[in-house]
Amino acid sequence: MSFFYLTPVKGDLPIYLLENIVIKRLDFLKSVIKKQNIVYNEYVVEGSVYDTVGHYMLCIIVILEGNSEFTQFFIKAEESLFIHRLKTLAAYDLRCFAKKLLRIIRKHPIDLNFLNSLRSLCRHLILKHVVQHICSDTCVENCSLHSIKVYFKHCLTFIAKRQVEVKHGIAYIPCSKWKTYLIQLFKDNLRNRLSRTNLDSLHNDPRITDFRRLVRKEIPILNNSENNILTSNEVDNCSKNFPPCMLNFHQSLRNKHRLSHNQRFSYSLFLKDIGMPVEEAVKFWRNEYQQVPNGKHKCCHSWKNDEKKFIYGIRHLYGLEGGKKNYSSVNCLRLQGFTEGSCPFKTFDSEAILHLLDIKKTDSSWSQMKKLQEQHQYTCACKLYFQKRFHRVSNNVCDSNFNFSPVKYYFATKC
Amino acid sequence: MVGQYDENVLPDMLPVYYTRLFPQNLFCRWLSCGNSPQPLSNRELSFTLADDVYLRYLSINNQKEFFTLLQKKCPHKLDIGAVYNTKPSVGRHDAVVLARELVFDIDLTDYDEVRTCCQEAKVCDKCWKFMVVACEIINAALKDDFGFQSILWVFSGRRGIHCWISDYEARTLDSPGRAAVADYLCLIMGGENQSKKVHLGSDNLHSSIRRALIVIDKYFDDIVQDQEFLSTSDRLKSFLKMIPDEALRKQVQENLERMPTSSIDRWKCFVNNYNQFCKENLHGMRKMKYLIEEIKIQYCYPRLDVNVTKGFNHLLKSPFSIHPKTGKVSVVFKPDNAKDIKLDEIPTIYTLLDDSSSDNVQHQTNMRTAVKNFQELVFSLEKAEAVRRKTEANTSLEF
Repeated sequence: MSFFYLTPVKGDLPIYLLENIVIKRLDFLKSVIKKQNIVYNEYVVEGSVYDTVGHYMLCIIVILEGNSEFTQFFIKAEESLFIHRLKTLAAYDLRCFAKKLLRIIRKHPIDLNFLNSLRSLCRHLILKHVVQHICSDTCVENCSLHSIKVYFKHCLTFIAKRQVEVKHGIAYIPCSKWKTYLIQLFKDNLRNRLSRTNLDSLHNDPRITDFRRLVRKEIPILNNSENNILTSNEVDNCSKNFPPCMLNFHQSLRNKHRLSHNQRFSYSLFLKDIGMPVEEAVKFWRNEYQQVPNGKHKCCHSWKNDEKKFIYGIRHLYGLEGGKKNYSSVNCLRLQGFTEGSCPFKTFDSEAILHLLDIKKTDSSWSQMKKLQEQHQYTCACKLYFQKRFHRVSNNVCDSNFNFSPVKYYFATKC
Repeated sequence: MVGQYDENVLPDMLPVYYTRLFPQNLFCRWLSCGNSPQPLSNRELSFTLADDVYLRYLSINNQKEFFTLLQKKCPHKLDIGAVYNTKPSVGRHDAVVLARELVFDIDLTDYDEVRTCCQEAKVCDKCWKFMVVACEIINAALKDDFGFQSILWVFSGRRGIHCWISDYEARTLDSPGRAAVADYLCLIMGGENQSKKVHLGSDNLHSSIRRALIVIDKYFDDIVQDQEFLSTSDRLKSFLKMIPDEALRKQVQENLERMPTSSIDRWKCFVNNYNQFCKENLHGMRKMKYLIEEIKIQYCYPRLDVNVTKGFNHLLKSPFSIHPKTGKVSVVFKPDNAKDIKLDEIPTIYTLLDDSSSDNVQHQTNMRTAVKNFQELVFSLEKAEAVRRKTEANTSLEF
């Protein structure tokens, strides 16, 4: 078995042991995410039976729970664990790792579209001189002594950031990026498993139901439910507690009576998730879009002419029309990824952000925030602002910067 | 000229246009290729009739049905959607998208913050140059980097261009794939609260960026002269905000304010100033290693509407449809000829059907050229699809 988790293990285990494995793994993953010192744990020895069983069992629970936050936590934790394990591999161990993967691929029929890319990478890693180079200091940041050819669809993360050269649909991944690529493949494999595995037959298995109950005790967010109704005339008042991004949208909307598509989409979902029912949402947006847009705006829509379209759109976001899709509000990472910029910490000039946050340049936390901005730690900068403003720290085990969101910020102000 | 006619004559002219001039046969063949292996009937079309009546989930089985539908409904707008696993009218919300061309939409209103000759709906031959640059840069990236071959460029009818890629690999690209391609091509990031929207870092530039700069340099001096980016105090202020170093910024401000208003001269002065500053401040330069390139890119690099590219349920305007407000035909053009396009030479429904119009002959010629361009693309797409199907059939027979 490999800690890449390409295939599950077969066999029988008593339930009490399975429970133990899962709980111990969950504890271990929590400490990995919190970046605490990784202490030896007999249940997570890489490549061992317990390690593989624990991983796949947690996959099952994550799939059945269907809670997006728990899923994100799991993916991030397993990825961090993989990164940690990869780092500790010496050249000889990395070669064994690659050999084992090739053996598994040869023996088992695995349905993965990027399997060829993984195999190609492993074939290079079993060559002694190659693997020694990878693990040595000579493989510097931009080293391309060796490279593999990968179909562009199998390395989308590199493509999106223009980190590799592409020619006629084939990307050339240099050796300096192979470890990163391996981590990306691990993540893709895990995501693929979590989204594609059909577990219908397990939904009613009483042993699994007991298991899920056990895990829920360990993971508080799986029990959360906030029940506060927000009406459209309360928004101005509540906006004082909005995170900077949403406050900016709100102020923009009040000033110009229009928002761009992405802004309107994100703000609508935010309001929905902090408790605004659909009737109030219609009132809220009608109030603004009935007014003439103020200033330069490409928007040619008005509530008078397009009322039906607007109401349909809002209802659609609430899952009441069309495909009845359940939209979840955007998190910080996604907001930061918008091209037009929506996270003020990422895209505002200094004067603009000082004005929005209503703090002075001379403020002590400002220089800290600026430093975090320079290091591209926009969510951290936001959390620092939150801490300073509300004098408390947000404390949730699944909560680390990668999955922070405007909704979490808002609810944290209420605690 | 457009001003002599108004939208009210459209209902009379559109039926004639659809019957005589709209390339129905090529259109159906193009869509059929894009649908393959699904039948043509699984493609969603939408019509917008007079008075903004919107019809979705339409589909056609063949060209004859298409012709009948056009005659019956006489749409003012014709949009093309995705290929579903069933006839769109049957599946509606449960239907699954199987394929859709990879599309790009570039609109001149996204350049409003840099173009000075026009704003909003207005467009002229000066700001059209931005579209020429965008077309050349994106076309090269799609062909050379991603290996796409069936790339259709269409004038959007008023102030922009669309690009449709029908290669099998593009049609079957999933949402993360489309997002990655869009992000690959996106260099300008930030909203109205950010003055400097391009950051290239200090490592070696990616080859696609270097190639884009070569294209920009071909047209940069002309664009600077047309747009006069540095001639007024407001424009100069916006320009200065793109310089991250305060000392350099002050120098440049003093030097440029002293000069006469010619933007091209001011630009040359800025470049000299920057080079001199670099020589004198070797250690502080990491942050500004590519400042000149970043500024050129912020002014001239393509500004895509990434939402159009990332989603595949978007309904996008069809080639050869008529823009209701301008009457212009969404003509197909070749990227190499983009620089020769003059906006008033683009055929309109009015000039095409009015023999007495002074532009009639020229517009008819341009219309024929556009149809020929479309034909070339459809032919090579059909050939490529035939080859692909044959190869697939052969590989499935191998043991």
